[in-house]
Amino acid sequence: MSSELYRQIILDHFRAPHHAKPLKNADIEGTKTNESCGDSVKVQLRFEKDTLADVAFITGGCAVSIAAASVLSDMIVGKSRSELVSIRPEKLLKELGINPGPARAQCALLPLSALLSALKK
Amino acid sequence: MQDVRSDFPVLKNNPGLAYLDSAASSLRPQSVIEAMDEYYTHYSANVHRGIHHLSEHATEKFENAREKVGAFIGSPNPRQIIFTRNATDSSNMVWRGWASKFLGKEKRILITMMEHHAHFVPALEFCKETGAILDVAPLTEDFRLDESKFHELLEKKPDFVALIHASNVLGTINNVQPLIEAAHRKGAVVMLDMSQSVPHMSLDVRALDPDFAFFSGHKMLAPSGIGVLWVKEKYLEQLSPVTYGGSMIAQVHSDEFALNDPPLRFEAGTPPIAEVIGLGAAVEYMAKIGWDAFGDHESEIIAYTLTSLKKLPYVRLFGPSDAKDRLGVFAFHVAGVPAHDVASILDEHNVAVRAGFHCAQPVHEAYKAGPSVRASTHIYTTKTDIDQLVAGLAKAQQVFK
Repeated sequence: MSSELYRQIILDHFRAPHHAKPLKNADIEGTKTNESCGDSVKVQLRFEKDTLADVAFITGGCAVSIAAASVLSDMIVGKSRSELVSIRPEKLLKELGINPGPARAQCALLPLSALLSALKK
Repeated sequence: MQDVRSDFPVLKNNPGLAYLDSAASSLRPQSVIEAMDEYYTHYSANVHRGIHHLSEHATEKFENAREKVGAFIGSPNPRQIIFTRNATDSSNMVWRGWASKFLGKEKRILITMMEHHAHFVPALEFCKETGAILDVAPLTEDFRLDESKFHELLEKKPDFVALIHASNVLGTINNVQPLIEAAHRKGAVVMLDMSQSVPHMSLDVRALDPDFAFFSGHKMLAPSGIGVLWVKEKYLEQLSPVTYGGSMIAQVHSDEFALNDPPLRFEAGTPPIAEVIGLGAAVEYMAKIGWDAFGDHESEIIAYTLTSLKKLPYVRLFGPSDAKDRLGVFAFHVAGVPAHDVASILDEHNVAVRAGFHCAQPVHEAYKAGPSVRASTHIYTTKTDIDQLVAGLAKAQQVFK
């Protein structure tokens, strides 16, 4: 069954999201919610010096936000703080392989927005 | 209802669309759009202030709409109809303009778990600010208000009761008249949220007897940006305006001012004139169809939707399972597919629904439910729309298999 938005990559990450187990020794945490759809994303980060050593996204919500968190988590491990804050939304959407409308873009970008707000702490 | 469908240009301009999001905003008939158009193209002047004939005509149309809306809900006097921005605005006007004067620390407020955020959020904020005590009447397993618990909480003698007439999530229609009567017996002042009921049933505020009641235009075939607050005569003088400025004053001097009479007292500044006229046209349109025809059509669609959804083993429906005392509002979960994703896949199949908490998160929490998908119907909904929904749900299941 084909669907514009629900390509295999989204469905695969939704079914088995990467970095979805809570970290026990996180340095920073942050949460973002989307009131309109009820999605919520909690991000936990563990740094070794300036390098992101591990990450967890605990996501309650739709397949798009869960898949986006999973894909983003793979993109960011091993990156420095300055590299993390310069991740662009377009880059994440490209990795996800989708071109969503404004409403669904909010879902796809919720994990990135949680990451960026956690880094500001 | 094929003849009715041709009255709605959005349906004509979007062939194949199954619009099942009317509980969020209904579509508007051509006559409403034309009434607003006519204002802008023939007499677009300000109201209540011009001497010239365009302004007089605009004022007449504006006040005529107030009379139509008043008659539509059985208001004894049109001056009890206050035009607001929407239902939420109306509710806030009562919390700010009345509750803040008469309720405060140690006063009791009773609401229900079924309330829309338009009641819930101002109530929470008010209690936080003033120290008033909030009681929340729970719901039953079969998606109705727990009336015995409601009556138990009335024994605590609340000073104010805020109650929803029909749930925008469960579709449940509350039998509010006896509840309001009981609340009055205990000395409470009652505010009724009629946002979901006014668009779908014949109502009479004299029979229901709330002290304050409100609804939005955009759910009842009228434009957005216009709502109504109805106030019982004895509370019109108790209610204070929350916005000050033009129109709401009788006279102003450099050191004092005198308030205008209701309802203008509560309508500061230039009102949404075209929207008020549009609301009047919507009420006229509904009256032309008639509640008998309206009710027959809605009952048929509600029964058909219930039967159709119950056949799908992967759909968990919230709300009463029989068509009695029920609106055409169907919130549900699809096994294995998050609500937002169901809505996206339905959209790909030209079915418009809403996903999320529908401005009523506590109702979801009462049933330990996450965000839901909501399909809602109106006078233009057909069985074909429901069939299209069912086919879309089957596709959502297949995509996520």
